[in-house]
Amino acid sequence: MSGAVLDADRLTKAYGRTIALRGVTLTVAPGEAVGLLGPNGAGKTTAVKILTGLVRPSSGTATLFGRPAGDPRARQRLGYLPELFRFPDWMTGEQVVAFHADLAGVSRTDRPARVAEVLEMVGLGARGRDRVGGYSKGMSQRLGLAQAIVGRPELLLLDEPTSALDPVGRRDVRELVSQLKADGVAVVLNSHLLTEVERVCDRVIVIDKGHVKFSGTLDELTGEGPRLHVTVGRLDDDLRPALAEFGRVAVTASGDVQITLGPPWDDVPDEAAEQVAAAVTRGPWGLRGLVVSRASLEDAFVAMVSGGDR
Amino acid sequence: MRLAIYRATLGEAFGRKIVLWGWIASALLVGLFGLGLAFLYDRVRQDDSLTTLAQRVLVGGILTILGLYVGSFLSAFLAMMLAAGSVSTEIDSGVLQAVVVRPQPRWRWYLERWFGLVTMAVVYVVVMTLAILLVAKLVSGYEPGSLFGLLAILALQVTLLVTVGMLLSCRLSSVATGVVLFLYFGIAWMGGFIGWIGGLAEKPELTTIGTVVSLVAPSDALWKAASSYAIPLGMPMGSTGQADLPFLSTLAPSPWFLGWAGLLTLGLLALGIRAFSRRDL
Repeated sequence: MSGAVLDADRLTKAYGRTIALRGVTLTVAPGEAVGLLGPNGAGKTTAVKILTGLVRPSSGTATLFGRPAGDPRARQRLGYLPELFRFPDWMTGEQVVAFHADLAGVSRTDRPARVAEVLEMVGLGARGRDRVGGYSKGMSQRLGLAQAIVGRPELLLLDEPTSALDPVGRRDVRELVSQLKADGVAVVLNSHLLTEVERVCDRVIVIDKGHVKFSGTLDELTGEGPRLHVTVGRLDDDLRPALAEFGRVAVTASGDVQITLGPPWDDVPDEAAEQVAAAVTRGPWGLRGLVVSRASLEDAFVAMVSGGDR
Repeated sequence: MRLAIYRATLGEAFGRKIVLWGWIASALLVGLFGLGLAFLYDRVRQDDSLTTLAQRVLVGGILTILGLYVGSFLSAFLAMMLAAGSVSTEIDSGVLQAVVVRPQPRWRWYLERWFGLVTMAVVYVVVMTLAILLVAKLVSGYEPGSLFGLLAILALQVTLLVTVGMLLSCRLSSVATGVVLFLYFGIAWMGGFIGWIGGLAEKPELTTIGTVVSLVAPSDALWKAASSYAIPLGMPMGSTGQADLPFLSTLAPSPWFLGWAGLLTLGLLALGIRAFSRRDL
């Protein structure tokens, strides 16, 4: 893909007789957030390691910013949080991030301010001077994220970034990743937590048994766009046409109205919900409830990786 | 970036209190050596059978060289311990993955790590040797024939062991590296012993075995080369050039052998860089 920050073409990796990747092709555009999904042992981490230059592919090519992934210059704009990581426990959090800032090329004069900034961003501002040996798993994961972003990367590869975090921590990381994405950083999120992927990513790539099984938007994966479930006080024949402009309208067995949003509303479900609420309250139907939902990514994912040869 | 990995390697030694405890233990050892040497040297001076000054100097010298031998052994031990997990532990623990994806070539990480470990090992062997020599000087007036030659060769010995250890650590686990490294060190010692027996018994085939082993595993031969510089100038150690002791040599080391040991170290360093650069992490 022209202008892609990450481009992998027919990557194959064999460990002896075991083939971890079989011709994986993927691209990531600037500012795009892509979720990498797949069951355990699918080859996701191997793919990420090839993209970071940690592992050499048996065949195929991987480039970052137009340079081969093994080229150090290709990694100048890369941030990476490994799946299995540990930091020297004798260092403080500040020292770890400063060490990585040094390696990432952050100038000596900018380093103290940048270290303080990223520790604050990941919620470790008050614990930066503590030794890493005393950090909880969640704090270590936040520290991992801090070192990944300290070099102001344009591409962030996050391998299970929230696996050790509590719900508050997961929300913090989600917000941070969303902010980075809004700032133009491309993000590849390798996670088993499908809700994280669903909330952050524009696109998903499903890898199973070393193959790319799917690459596309969440809507394409789940088969349909976001939906609105509308509960009204009075249901009559006039309601359906009033809501038809938002998408396909159906009445469920329980008497609720379900709207599968169509273009352009499927891109702005929250805005569609406001408009639907306004339309219903303007009429005689009485709005009792309105929920925005999406066909479950988990269902689609499980169906995809459970089918075929599994 | 100014030698960040080198500084981190040294920082680790301080952070984990390796330096502190290493020096405390070493200070105890030097203290014990001083006590032992003072006691023995006092006995030697009172021994009527050792009538000449030269004989007394000889005994004091041998005791000091024994002390240096122990110091060299400990330094070699430290070098092997430092190197055994230098790469494999970093990979297994997951510390390395986030570091080597930074925008610098892998050889740089390897070289800086090597340099850091070599710095620690060399500083240790130099300080230990100087401490032992200082004690010997104070107790018996001992002075080595060539302090520079002694220190330089001991530094080369620990550098070689760190280099071999890092190379092994690229491919083997920490425990396996430690075992193989000790075997390497032990084979070198055994080779030296066999060569010494060959010299005493005038069996050229044994001497040849000792020479071949010293070329492949030169750590013991390097110690012997260093010991020749430890002997005070003018100290009578036998006319054949081969003292009747298995742990020292009175022969000045061959420049060819020293050159070979240096080249071998550089070659193994290059091999280690290549192995590390090509392996999957």
